[in-house]
Amino acid sequence: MLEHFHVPEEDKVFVRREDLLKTTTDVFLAMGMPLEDAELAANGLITADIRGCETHGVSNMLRNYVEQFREGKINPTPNWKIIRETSAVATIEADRSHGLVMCQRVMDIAIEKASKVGIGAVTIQNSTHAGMMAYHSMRAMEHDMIGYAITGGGAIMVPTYGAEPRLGSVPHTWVVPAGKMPPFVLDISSSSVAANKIGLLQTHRCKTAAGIAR
Amino acid sequence: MDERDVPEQANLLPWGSTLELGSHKGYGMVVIGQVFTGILSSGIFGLSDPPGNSSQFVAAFSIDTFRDVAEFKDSMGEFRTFLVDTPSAKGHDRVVYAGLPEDEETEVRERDGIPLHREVVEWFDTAAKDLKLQQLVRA
Repeated sequence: MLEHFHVPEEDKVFVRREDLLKTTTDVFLAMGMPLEDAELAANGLITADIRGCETHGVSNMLRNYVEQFREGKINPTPNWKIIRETSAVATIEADRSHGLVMCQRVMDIAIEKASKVGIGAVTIQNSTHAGMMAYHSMRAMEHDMIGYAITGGGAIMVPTYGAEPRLGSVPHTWVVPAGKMPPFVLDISSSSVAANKIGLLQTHRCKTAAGIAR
Repeated sequence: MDERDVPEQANLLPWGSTLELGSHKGYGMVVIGQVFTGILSSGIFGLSDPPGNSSQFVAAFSIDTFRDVAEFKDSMGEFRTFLVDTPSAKGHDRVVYAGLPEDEETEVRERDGIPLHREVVEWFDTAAKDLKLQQLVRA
């Protein structure tokens, strides 16, 4: 991440991964999530933080998630279901699951299908924010598979020539295992910068560059 | 960097920023992403209704249905080396690839801890008190 998105030196407080994971899991449990889901969601946030992607870690996201649980926008105990399915594809109704959990579960479905027919592709409706999308693509890598994950929704970006926002920033992520080398992990928003980076700059009262937002 | 304040209501621009710099590419990637997430799933596009509603799409490709996995990984390793060995342009130390800086940062943060903004730690302390949880331990 570019330097101006990092926490200023004088404001840094260091925490260990395991301590941050425990407290974050506890927060999700307090929101009513089952333990396994709380651990999946917390691990998604801390995976972002440990990789230096604090835009999608606890700093930027956890308080928003807590607010959304309290407002009833995220369902901590969803009854999600497969509403259409073949050997290679599925469509999921997520019952307003936390996207961080839903995408992990759904990637498992895609992996299972791919292990049988070579490819698995799953689309999800009625979900919520899914955190750092590379977290979900990375799950496929553990099975010697190439993972792909994207998320849509929201209206925060203007179309080319447009004067008002009509589009989400729609991050596309691909993860490719590379043996002894670190994997290829591409996680790119379709906007000049990820929407969360703007939020992070606002939180840290930092400045931005020309061409990022208007 | 040409710095400016972040507007309170910031509208993002597609990657490329302006048409001259390729904003139609970001715009197109958003539209196709929206097709696979919101439209293919019978979900939402544009304004989230209710707010916070979202759609996703995930896929897995099993490498061994295309070619031998070990050979694939060897080729990927060679490709990585090929990219990283590119002579760097003036003003730059090296060439990287997507995921390499994050992999290196992971090593540093596993060793030194994760740097949070003090304001975030204060939020954790308040939340722990409200929710009757154990406080976040500092490194």
